Amino acid sequence: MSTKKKADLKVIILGDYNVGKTSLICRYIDGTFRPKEPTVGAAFFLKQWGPHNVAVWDTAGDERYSGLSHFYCRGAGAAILAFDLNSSQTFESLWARFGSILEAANEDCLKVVVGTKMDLLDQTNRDITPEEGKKLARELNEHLDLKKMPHEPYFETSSLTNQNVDEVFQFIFQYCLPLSAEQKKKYGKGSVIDLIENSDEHKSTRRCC
Amino acid sequence: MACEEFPNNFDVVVLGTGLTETIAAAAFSRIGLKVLHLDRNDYYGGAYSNFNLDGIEDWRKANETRNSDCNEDEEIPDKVKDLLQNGETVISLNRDNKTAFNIQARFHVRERTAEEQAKADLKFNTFKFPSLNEQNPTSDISQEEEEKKEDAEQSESPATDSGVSSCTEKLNEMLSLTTTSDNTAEVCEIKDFSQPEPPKSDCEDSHAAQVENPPKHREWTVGDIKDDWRRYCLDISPKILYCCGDLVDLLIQSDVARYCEFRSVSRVLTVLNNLLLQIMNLALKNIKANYLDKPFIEFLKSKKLTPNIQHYIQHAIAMVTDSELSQVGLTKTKKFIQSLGRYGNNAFLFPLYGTGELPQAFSRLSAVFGGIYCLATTATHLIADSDRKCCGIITSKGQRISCRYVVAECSYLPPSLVLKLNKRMLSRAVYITDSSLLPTGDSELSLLHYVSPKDSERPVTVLELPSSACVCPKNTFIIHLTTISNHNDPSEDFNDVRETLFANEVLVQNKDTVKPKILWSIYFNQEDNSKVKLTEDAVTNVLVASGGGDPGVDLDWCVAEAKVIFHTVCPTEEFLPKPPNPEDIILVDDAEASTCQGTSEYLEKNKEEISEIQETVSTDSVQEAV
Repeated sequence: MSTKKKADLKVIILGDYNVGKTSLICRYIDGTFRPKEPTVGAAFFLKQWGPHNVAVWDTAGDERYSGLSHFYCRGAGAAILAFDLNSSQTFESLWARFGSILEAANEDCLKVVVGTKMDLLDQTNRDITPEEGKKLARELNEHLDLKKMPHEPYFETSSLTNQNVDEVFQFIFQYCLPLSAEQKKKYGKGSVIDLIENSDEHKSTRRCC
Repeated sequence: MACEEFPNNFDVVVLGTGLTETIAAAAFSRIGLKVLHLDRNDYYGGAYSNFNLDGIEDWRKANETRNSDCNEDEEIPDKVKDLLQNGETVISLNRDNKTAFNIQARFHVRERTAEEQAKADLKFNTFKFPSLNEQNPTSDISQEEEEKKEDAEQSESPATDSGVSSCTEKLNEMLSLTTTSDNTAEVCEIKDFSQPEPPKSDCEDSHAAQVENPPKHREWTVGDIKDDWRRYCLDISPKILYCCGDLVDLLIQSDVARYCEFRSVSRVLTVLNNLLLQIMNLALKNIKANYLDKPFIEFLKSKKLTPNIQHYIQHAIAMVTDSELSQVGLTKTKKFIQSLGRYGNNAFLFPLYGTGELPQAFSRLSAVFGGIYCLATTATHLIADSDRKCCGIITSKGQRISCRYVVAECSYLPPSLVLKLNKRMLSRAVYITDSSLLPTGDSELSLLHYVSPKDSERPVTVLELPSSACVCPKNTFIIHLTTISNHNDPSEDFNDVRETLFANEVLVQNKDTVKPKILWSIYFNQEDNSKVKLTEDAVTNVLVASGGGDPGVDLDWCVAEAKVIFHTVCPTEEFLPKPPNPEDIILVDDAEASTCQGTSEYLEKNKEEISEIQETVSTDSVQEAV
């Protein structure tokens, strides 16, 4: 990990309870499958991608009781909207539950629709077709230039078998990074202060008085 | 989503998500206590919340209908009685609360004409794609759409305004060049308020640097502001942080800092002899560099400072009134000066998106360590056992929850349990303006301690936030005003500061002026609930947290308060120790545990936990284990 801690890009993940958000992130971050529920202890990862630092935020704790706040979405350059391929209800939630809180994300936030638990899917009897998924992905990104993307921001994944997981993140990073000059101006960290990174030698001097 | 029952047992139930409560909740969760955190509102923060323009309107409406009265003598419903065990009694809690009084909000600009509206609608529509239907081939995007996209891109940079902004930007660029050379001056005189509302010609020859004369302003309409409603973050309790204050230290120590970003309060302003002045950072930097370990007076002497300096130190640095004891003034001056240099040459920080982000950041830490959060839910009753010791709550959903401690923000407790020691109100105003109080090319974040000649005991704290603080769209500013209430109508408390610093609406309608124009305003009163204590009647194992509303600029006292609450419950535990590095945390499940010696021992001890966290000495050992 580089000494530079400040992230250039913030990636968040949204989705109903138990669709496998943490499993997806853990599979990507450290290549293991952890079938663990309520996300406890770690919900923030820094990932280096080339010269860039990416902060991957996971939802924290047990979301059965509380919705996500705008706080979580603030400044996000990309959002993974995860649903369980085996549950059409989790798919419908994406628009219904998360559309409004994504207003707090950056205006040009890339939204990637990601179906999870592909390994459990009965291909002959699908609730949600890939076409429906792609349609939602297009609709969510109608403010972006879809032509710049190799394909629609839609993926079907399995964190158990590692199918398509890296691809989701590669897709995001390739689209979002490096930040354009305009984005840097807009979201650039220029005079923004990171307490940890910017804290400096004065720590010691101030103690003496 | 909030339909499921909570677990029935917690260590601590926390009511209210203000800053003190969220810090305490994070501290409890951090050491492994089970925390249930409720808020009666459907948003975080209580008195520390922030809203966008639509949200603040909802908040205003909700406060009109709210009722702070608690009917302590009400009959206990049977369904609550059924949940009680032998010897237990219940105490009714406040289910609702007014967070603000006498709220008045309005626009100070005209509505759009039909023509303007049509134009705005058209522009808005270029961003919208026709919804693609399924027959459309998915892989290629039609020519038509591409053209639309280009249109959209083109209209993106000038954003919502009609070409005026590009001109404004250029002017601002030029202005910023002219101002930089002024920075060597110890104080820079910008505006002369003793002059009458300046006619343009007067302005041009009055000062050499024309920095204060802002570019021609667009004429704003209600629609222009409303279009960007979601880009406003309006704080109910705007606060700043001392760079060397306890809150900054806590944010770093607890690692909550990585959820937040800050901007420096880049200018400290004061009004002296009717001049709005900037206290230059340069002078203050020297204090830090050379006089940190010497008496302050030496610095003052060595600089051969004029009596005006006394004014700066009193009003801009220490921010104390004439009657304030010197002890307080010295402490505050010291804190200010110590804060210089840690994050540049400024003493204060402001959180991006507003103060309301801070409680959410601590909530997130609590949730990360297992705290359960539920908004729009509260406790209707406290349960006390036969020894008058609190042993649980009844939730507004009618569930009985047992707990060892209840931490409640004071507005959740009935008057019989809590004493409010500061019997006063604050008056607050929030303005959206079209320019800065002291325009320069840079987007400065400014603090001004305004002392009215008419009432020096009630200074007004003015916090001016630019769009770079992520609280408003480009070309607008948010200006927060706070003072101790003296009138029934909160807007009257700001008459003097409004007349001095802002354009007069009636006189200069549609004319250029150097003073900022108020485009939208909200006024309200807030109860000062910053000092509270429990009454003698209170049951034990209930702890009260203050409800905010103090007139001070910072939040360090919330840290102290949360610490006391935490140590009352856990006298020997560490308060928000640094969390383990994410790479050093692993989640463990039973399958993994069986293959891992060290982990299974750990699991033995914590069988009842849903999830286990293991802090490992090094990542290597984890890898071996797995």
